[in-house]
Amino acid sequence: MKQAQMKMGENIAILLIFFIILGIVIIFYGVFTFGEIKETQREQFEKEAIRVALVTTYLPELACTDDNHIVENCFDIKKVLILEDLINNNNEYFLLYQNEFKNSKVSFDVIFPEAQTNITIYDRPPANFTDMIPTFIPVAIRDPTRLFGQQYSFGILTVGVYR
Amino acid sequence: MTVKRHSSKKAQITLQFNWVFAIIIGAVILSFFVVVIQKQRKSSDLDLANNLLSDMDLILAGQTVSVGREDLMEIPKREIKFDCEEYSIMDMTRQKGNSIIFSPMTFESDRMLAWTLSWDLPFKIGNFIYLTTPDIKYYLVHTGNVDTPMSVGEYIINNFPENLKLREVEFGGMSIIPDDDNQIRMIYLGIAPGSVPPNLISARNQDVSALYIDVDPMDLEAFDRSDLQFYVKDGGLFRKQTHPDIADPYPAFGKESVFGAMFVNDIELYHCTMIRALKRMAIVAHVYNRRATAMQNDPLTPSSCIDYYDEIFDNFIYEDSDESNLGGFQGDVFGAEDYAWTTNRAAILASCSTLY
Repeated sequence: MKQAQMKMGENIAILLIFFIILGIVIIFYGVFTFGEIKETQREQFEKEAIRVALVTTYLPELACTDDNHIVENCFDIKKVLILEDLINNNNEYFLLYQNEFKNSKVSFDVIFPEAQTNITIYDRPPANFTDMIPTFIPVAIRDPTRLFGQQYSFGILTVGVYR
Repeated sequence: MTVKRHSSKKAQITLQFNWVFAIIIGAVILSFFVVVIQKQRKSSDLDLANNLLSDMDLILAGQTVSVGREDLMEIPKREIKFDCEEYSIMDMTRQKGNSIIFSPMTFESDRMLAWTLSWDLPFKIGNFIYLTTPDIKYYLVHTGNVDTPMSVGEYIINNFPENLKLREVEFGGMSIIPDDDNQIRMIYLGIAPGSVPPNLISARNQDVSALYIDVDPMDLEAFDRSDLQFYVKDGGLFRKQTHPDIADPYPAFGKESVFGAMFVNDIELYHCTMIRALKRMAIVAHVYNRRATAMQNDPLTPSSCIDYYDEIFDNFIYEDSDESNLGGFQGDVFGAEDYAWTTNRAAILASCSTLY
């Protein structure tokens, strides 16, 4: 009887230890997975920043065009100002570009030869964001009304993705 | 004696109880691991779907900026479904955003082809992205003369993605089309579909579809403005797809939109995609209109150039009311296209900044 009780107690002890070890393994796995999830989230935000920057650079309604040929890394200042006005003052346009830009900020700064104030084409921060990942792209900014040889300025396109 | 018998009975019960206890605990542990494995498997599938969708986002972004690009990619074999506004793998969806994507409603393959064409009318509006798989077989059904230079057939054959192997079949010779387990897309050029090819009658209705491009096969210039009709297989015949709110026949807005119709096997999906494209055209036209006005009013604009900067893009601006008369809108667009091209050329010749 006592022997049987001891045996039973042994079995229970073994099972207890087994479940404790299992619990520890699960906790470690959970911590590891949580770290992986954070890393994946960070990667997703970086991919999103690249995507928005890529799309912005090649929008025909922003890019410099010469007889329908898009000039790479060049933005037409007239188009930039028009799109800024349309998106920021017309809800319909804002919603259309929200499909593309989502929770991000797209802005231009003309830095040389004449420094101009920041032109923010689109800005939609989410209600509770903790950070913004900016991507800076040096670009040429062209004013088509100026004389040939004086049309271009240097600028920075900033694409920031909120998280 | 009694004590001995009593002890023996107890021992037997204890032994049996031990075994039962061990079996129960074993079963509990086993089922715990089975549940964990199943959950892990599901999580892994969702992870795969999420990664694939995430990669597709980047692929589409890359395709959006590259022109004439044809990419054949290996992907995990999962069913990809396309909707008007989104695409999905398993239960995970992604918004198309402002991308204009022409694709079948669904396909499942380990290879995906992404192809891009620039949509210009005549100013660049954006890129059309075509998504499909080489597992879908495409047949161009014609009445002959596809080898004639500058014919529509020759143009389609020469410009179709290389990785898709467009097979051409003369209308009278459709018995050579083999029975196939894959999806089949028949493209009828200059002749309307009637009966389903004999070897495809037993195929599933949802696997076979047809597009009729109503255009003179020898008039390449008219290809841009073709009329399109969508057909689905219904037993041994092709039945035209119609919808009370969708134009019939459907007017094409450029060669790129005709190629788009070759890949989309549903008229509602095609219509939805084209409406998104036309709305995009309206935005770009609106920007160009205002740019022209801004340049006209800018004191730095040379006086010799002012006359060129007029709001010539009005007819490109699609409105919801145009949906009920797409044919008329098509005429307006192509008329305006010629005028915009001519005016832009004149501005270039006068050494003025271009309108687009």
